[in-house]
Formats: sequence, C-alpha cells, structure tokens
Amino acid sequence: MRDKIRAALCGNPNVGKSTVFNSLTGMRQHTGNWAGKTVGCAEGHFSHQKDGGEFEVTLIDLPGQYSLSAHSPEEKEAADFLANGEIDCAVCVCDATVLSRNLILVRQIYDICPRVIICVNLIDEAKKKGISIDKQVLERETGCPVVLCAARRGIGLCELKDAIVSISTADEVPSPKKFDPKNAASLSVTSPPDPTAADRKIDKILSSKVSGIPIMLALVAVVFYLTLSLSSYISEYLEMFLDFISLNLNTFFRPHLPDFFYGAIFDGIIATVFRVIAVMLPPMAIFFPLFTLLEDLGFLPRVAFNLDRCFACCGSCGKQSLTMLMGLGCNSAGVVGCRIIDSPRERLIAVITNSLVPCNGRFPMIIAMLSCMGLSSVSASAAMVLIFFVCIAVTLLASKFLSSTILKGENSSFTLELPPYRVPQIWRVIVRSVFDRTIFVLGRAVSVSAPAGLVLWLTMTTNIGGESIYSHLVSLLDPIGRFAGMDGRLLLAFIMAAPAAELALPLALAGVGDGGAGFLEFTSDITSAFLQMGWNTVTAVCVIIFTLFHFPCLTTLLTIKKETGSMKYTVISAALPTIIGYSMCVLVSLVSSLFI
Amino acid sequence: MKTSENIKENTKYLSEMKVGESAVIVQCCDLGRNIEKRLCDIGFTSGETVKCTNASMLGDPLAYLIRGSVIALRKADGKCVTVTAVPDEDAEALTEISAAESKIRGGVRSDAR
Repeated sequence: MRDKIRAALCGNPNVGKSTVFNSLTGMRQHTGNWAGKTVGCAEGHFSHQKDGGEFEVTLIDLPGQYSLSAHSPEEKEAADFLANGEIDCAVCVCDATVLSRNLILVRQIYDICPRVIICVNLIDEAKKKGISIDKQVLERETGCPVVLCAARRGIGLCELKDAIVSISTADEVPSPKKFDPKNAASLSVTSPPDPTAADRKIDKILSSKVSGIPIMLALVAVVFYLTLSLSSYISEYLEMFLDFISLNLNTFFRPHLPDFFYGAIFDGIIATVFRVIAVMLPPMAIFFPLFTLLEDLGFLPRVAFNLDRCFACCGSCGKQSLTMLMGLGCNSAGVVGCRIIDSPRERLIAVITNSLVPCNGRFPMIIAMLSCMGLSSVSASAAMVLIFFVCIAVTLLASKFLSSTILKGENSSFTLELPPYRVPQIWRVIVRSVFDRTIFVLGRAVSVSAPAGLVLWLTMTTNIGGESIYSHLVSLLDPIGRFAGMDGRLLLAFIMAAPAAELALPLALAGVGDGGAGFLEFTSDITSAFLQMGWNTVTAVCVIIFTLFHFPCLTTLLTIKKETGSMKYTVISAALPTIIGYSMCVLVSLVSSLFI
Repeated sequence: MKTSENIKENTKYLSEMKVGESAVIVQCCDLGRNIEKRLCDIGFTSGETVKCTNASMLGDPLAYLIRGSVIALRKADGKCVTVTAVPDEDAEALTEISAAESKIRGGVRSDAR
C-alpha cells in the first residue's frame, strides 16, 4: 500500500476544474467563467483515510485543454506532464452538460495513462437544464470509474477522494477500452431537445447590432460608477482612520527617537505607505469583486466574440479584449493572461500593448485629476468610460502598427467557446475578493511603497550644493515635463513610481500642504494641493494621458521578460507606451497653447 | 435517400450557414490554417449535427452549437468545414428524435431497476 499519491487534474477548459481543485485542496486559485482561465500549473495537497490507511495526495491542476495534440505550448506541457510526470492517476473533469465533447479528451488521456477517473462536474447545472447522467452506463461504456459531483456545492468530493485512492493503490491496471465518445455520451446522458435555449436567447440580445453595444457600455459604466463613487466615500474614512493611527504613533515615538530615524520612518515610510493604502485599497476592493462577478457570469467571452472583427482587422485576435480587461485589474496579470492566445505573434502583440490599459493602481491618479477638474461623480464615470474607449482605440492602433511592422504575419485560426451563463455565488465572490485584494494591497504597500517612501524622504532631505536632491531632479526634468503640459515634479513622480503605479499620486503630492504635523503632510484635499502647485485643466488632461500611456511598472516589465524570454520585446513594451503618451501630451499642450 | 448529385448540390461551407440554420458536417480540411485537428478535438467531426446559433455584432465570427456546447469560429476558419444543409423541419425532427430516444433509454433503465 502506498502512502503518497500523485494525481493530475485535467479536462476541457471551463468545466470547473479549478473549483474541484480548490474544494479538494483548500488552496485559493482564481476561477472565472471563461475557457482558458487557469494559466500555469498549481499543486495542492490533501490527506484522506481509507480502509484504515492514511494517504497524502498531491494534486496537480493542469491548464484546461481540448486535446493532447499540442495546439499551444501550454497544451504540449500538459501532454508531456501526463506522459512523464510520474503520476499515479489522472482525474478528468467533465461538464455534465457537454459530456460528448469532454469525452474526446478522456479517450486521448486513456491512451497515455490507463488509470483515469471521469469526474462529471456541474451536475447541479445539468439538473436545472433537465439533463441527467447514468453513472453505471458511463462506467460500462468507458471502462473507467465515474464520480458525479457538483464541486461548488461540495457534492461528490468524498467519493472523488475515495476513487483517487482506490485507483492509485489498485494492483491491477485496468486495460484501456476503445470507446467512441459520442456513443458513450449518447447512451449515458438523458437530455431535453435544446438545453442551451435560454443561453441562446441572452446571446441574441448581447450580440445584436442594436442592443449589443448599449448593454456592454452600460455594464462597463456601472462598474466604473460603483467603483468611483463608493471608493471616494471609503477613502475618506480610511484616511481619517490612518491619520488617527499615525498621530498616535507620532506622539508615542517622537520623544524617543533621534530626529533622523523619526523623519525616515514617519515622514518617509509611514506617510507614503498610509497614503498609498488610502488611495489604492478602495478602488481595488470594489473593482475586483465586480469584475469577478462579471467573469463568473460568463459575460466576458461574449465581449471577445463581439469585438473579434475589430481586432482581426488590426492583425490581432478577439481574445486580446479579454487580456485587456485583465489588465484593467493588474497589468502583470494581464500579461500572464495572454497565454490564452495560441498564436505566438498575436500573443506578443497582446503582451506589448497590455499596459495601454490602466491598471487599478493608476485609477487613483485619474480619479484625482478628474475631481480636480471639477467633475461630479456621474460625469466622472462618463469620463472614465470615454477614457476606456480611448484606451481601446489606442490599443487597436498600436496593434495594427505592430502587426504591420515588427510583428508581421497572417491572422491565426481562432476558436472561442461561449460557455453557458452561470449564476455566480455572489456573496462568496464578494467576500473572498475583497479579502484577497485587501491582503494584496497591504502586502504591496509594505514591500514596495515602504522602500519607495524612504527613498523619497532621503532625496528630499539630503542636500547637495544647498538644495535637496529632489529639487535638483525636479529642475532637471522641468523642461521635459513642461513641454508635455506637465512639470518636473509630475514627471519625477511618474519616474519614481516605476516600482508600482499607485505611488504616482502620493509622490506627486509629496511635501505639499501647510507643513505642521509632518514633513509630508497627509493631503486629503487634493484639489487645493493641485491649485497650490499652479496646475490647471490642461495639466490635468496631460497627466491623465500620461498616466494611461507610459512605461509599465517594474513588476509588469519583469513579467514580460519572463513570458516572452526576450529583452528586445521588453524594451519595446516600455518604449512604445511612453512614446505614445509623451507625443499625445505634447500635442495637447501645443494645441491648448494656441487657444488659451 | 439522397442521391450523390443532391449531396453535392447541398454542400456548402460552415461559414456560409445562416443564423438558425442546421447542417450535418461532411468533412474538415486544413487549407493551410493548421486548424483541422483542433476542429476535430472540439467536436466538429463527420456526421455531427451543427447549428448556427448567432452572429457577432460585426458579422464575424459566427457561433455554432455542436455536441451541446457553443463554439465561435471566424469565417476564414469556417471555410475549412464542409456541411450538408438540413431543412429546418428535418433538423427539428432530428433533435426531437434524439431527445425521445434519450427518454426511452431513461425509462428502460429505470424500469430495469
């Protein structure tokens, strides 16, 4: 009897494989309702007792694949792993509503790895549609053990663990049965004439020329409106709370610390970290759950479906719209998400243009500039939607440029699955997402903003030739900044925010205020700070443009280097957005100087 | 029984199907787009019934119902699949027959227990 078992989890995309994985191992992996969401392998563990023995099972979650014929690098990886990965059994997760197609992969896996368990997931969904599966018939037809489950409700998981242990520890290896997937499915599945009828109706509305665009626009606008209005409320309270903490720490530590350390810690590190948390946490904690809900619903593939033609005209593919949406959350995640694009050429285009979409970290700067321009919540949301469209347009143009110059090639073939709409587990998504995002922001604040704050404080307090390093840098950058409608301080803020986009706003406002309690005063009234610096509407517009189109943050650049394996494309990814942004700012600045 | 002339007359490309139309797949070929294997793996195999369910807002790609799931294909890729059109009444009859077969099997199984 073996104590350690290695099991691979495989299956078509979008069958709830990651839900099965999470439920068995308790590990948190982000799942979303569109084909291709899991990128990369994850390993998890669980223990199970059976027949008096204790077993430690390592479960490896492979990315979803339609076959083992290696259409993309990820599918090849999965196929190699199944053949050589020294696994004791393979669990093939299938969607009960699409069994006929899912069994094609099962049949292929059976040829490589004879110990296969067919895990028919989403039986709760199937039941709603009137579909039922006969377990005995399926086992007889395929020759594999079958487990029926609904992973998100916890049904069938114990049975699955039992089956994994049984098949891995059995002495006899069952011989592969040459079954026909369609035949096996038709014998074991009972189904009404068209179980997908309801989904089709919704799709007709979403992709109709008349109602498609307004609906997509409306959804995007609602997400932005909720994010903007709720986050300004939360930011206020968060600021008061952090101010309170900062004041108390201040009073407690001031007498005990020498001036230098006090300044470094409180005015450098703590002020910056608190400021970043106050501006970054609320938008992230609202946008991500909303976005996840849309994802889980199954709405996103429809966006790719509708927009594919635009992207195809620019030499790219509709899946790029999905990577752009991921980039709205975090550009680094968007770059990794480009793995859903099979064609290497189109994948590169998507990677290079991903940072032309603003990540959550850049929202605070944009929101701040919009409020400084005097826009109300409603008009600010309308402005955000407009901004979103500008980003899409620029991305399309940049893609067209790349595919006409350095990334020339034919449009690849393209298959996209439109999964059934699923009601998301709303409460669970919101709670888990808010929790995840909060931890992420706090973690980043400590690891990135803290050192950045320290560096900023040092540049502001270390003097060379009578002036601080900070002032020298600002003067140096001033001409370059002013030419583009900004100034040296703003440009320096963007440069110093290279480690993390959310640093830009706090850095831009560093040292502005009445003085008083701290060297870096916690400026909650951004508008007055804005005016104090002599900035106007043109400045605000140029700052927004440059925020949208400039070099990606260091994390993203590192990710690009890792994903593409090429220094050349990493440099292009940094240069292209910067050139676009700077040129647009110069244009705006020149045009406005003619009229104002 | 269809004659061979009828079959040739009725064949067209998947990309030429209209929304709401059903067809039976004759064959998939490659046309240099490296898609034949992928189409088979997704379920586009000879003899399979396919229905064009809806078109994208901009007309391309088109969505097809095959083996219970909906797959979107660009027109350029749809040219790789040849189908025989099935008149609407026949298509409905086909799906009803398979649903009835399912029910009968289900009934037999539950009787057998």
